[in-house]
Amino acid sequence: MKTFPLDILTPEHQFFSTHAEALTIQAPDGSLTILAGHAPLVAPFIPGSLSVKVNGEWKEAFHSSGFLEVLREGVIVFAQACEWPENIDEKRALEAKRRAEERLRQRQSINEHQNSQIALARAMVRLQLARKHINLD
Amino acid sequence: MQNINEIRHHISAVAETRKITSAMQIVASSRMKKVLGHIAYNQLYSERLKRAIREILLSSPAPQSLPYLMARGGERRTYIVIAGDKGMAGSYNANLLHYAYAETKGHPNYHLITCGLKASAFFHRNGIQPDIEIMGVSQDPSLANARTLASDVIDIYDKMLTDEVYIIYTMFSGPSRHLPVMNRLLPLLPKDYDEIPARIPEADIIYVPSPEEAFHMLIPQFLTAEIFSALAQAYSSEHFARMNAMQSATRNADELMKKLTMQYNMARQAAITREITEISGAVEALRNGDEAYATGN
Repeated sequence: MKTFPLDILTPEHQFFSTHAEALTIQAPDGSLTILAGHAPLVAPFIPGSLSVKVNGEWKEAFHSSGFLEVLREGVIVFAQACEWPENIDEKRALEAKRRAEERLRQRQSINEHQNSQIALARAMVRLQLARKHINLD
Repeated sequence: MQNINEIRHHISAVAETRKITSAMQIVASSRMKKVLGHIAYNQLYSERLKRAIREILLSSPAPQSLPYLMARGGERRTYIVIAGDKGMAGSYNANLLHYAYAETKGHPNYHLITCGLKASAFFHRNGIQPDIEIMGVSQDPSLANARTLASDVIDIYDKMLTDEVYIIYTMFSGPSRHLPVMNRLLPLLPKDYDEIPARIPEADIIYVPSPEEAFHMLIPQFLTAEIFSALAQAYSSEHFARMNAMQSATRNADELMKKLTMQYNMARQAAITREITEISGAVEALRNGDEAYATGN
């Protein structure tokens, strides 16, 4: 299968760099799959899980919000945070979820409300992924 | 010649100070080591991000009507100034703050956001009340802090309180090493990114779901990433400056101690010599007296 260079970057570290066969990510209106030779595309994404197919095997990871840039030369995913399921701190995610829910109950400006919603979504996906499985390499 | 006790006291004072400066040097250099691994990557990330922004701005269907992409033509600027919480870092804070002060002076109608105690203290001293004072961020350049700051900036911009937003911080890596720099955060103008090499897409970029919506979600991402990288650069610059300042302070203390020890030894030697002279003089005087007595004069 044809592959394309894929870099997944977060501001804190280079999460993953590989030649991938496919990449699936959560766009705001549903999941989006990129294959080699895709037309130039820019898409923001919401917290969710991304899947990368490398050597015929799918790997899944958590991603926070961010955007991806698809050019002929390759694909770059700019995420605020990215974690493999085995590295997710479940306790921290639970706490973050509780905090976000608490904040959502309070009266807030539209902007703050949006931020809390995003924070809640982040925590939920982290928890989901951490409980689902770990990658067996 | 100085009093021996005075010199001894001076030596112990210098030794105490040296202990502090060398401890601070060790702390600063261990923080530096922690950061150094990240900073090279941070530089790469920020280059990649700027290239992506330029490529996106260059491609044709980018919506020109979005407020974040248009110069509003006004003169009301907002400055975010990032300095340290503590001094003892050589000229790190002074350089940055004087640069910021000169910059703000040219644009009287401005808002000010300061990060770090030193920055707010400096502007207060100069009779300027910062609009927002953020504490604790300089010591903790985390993504969460960058995210909060970015959402505040967008809030201010959305409410039409400002026309342009700039960030002033100290660069750690790259061509303007250890120098204060100023970057425009908003609006995003293509001319700011002219020098960055970009891979021009051969076809129009597709935006998912639509250009407007995509940009609405992209702008906070850009801002958060840019602010995070500014915070990280400033943090490492500060610790690098402190490490150097403390290193030279420790070296100065060593030199001073050497000089003082020499003075102390000389003073002690002089005192001993003086005492011997006095004793032998007294002995001589006594002997003369004895001889005079013996000869019966």
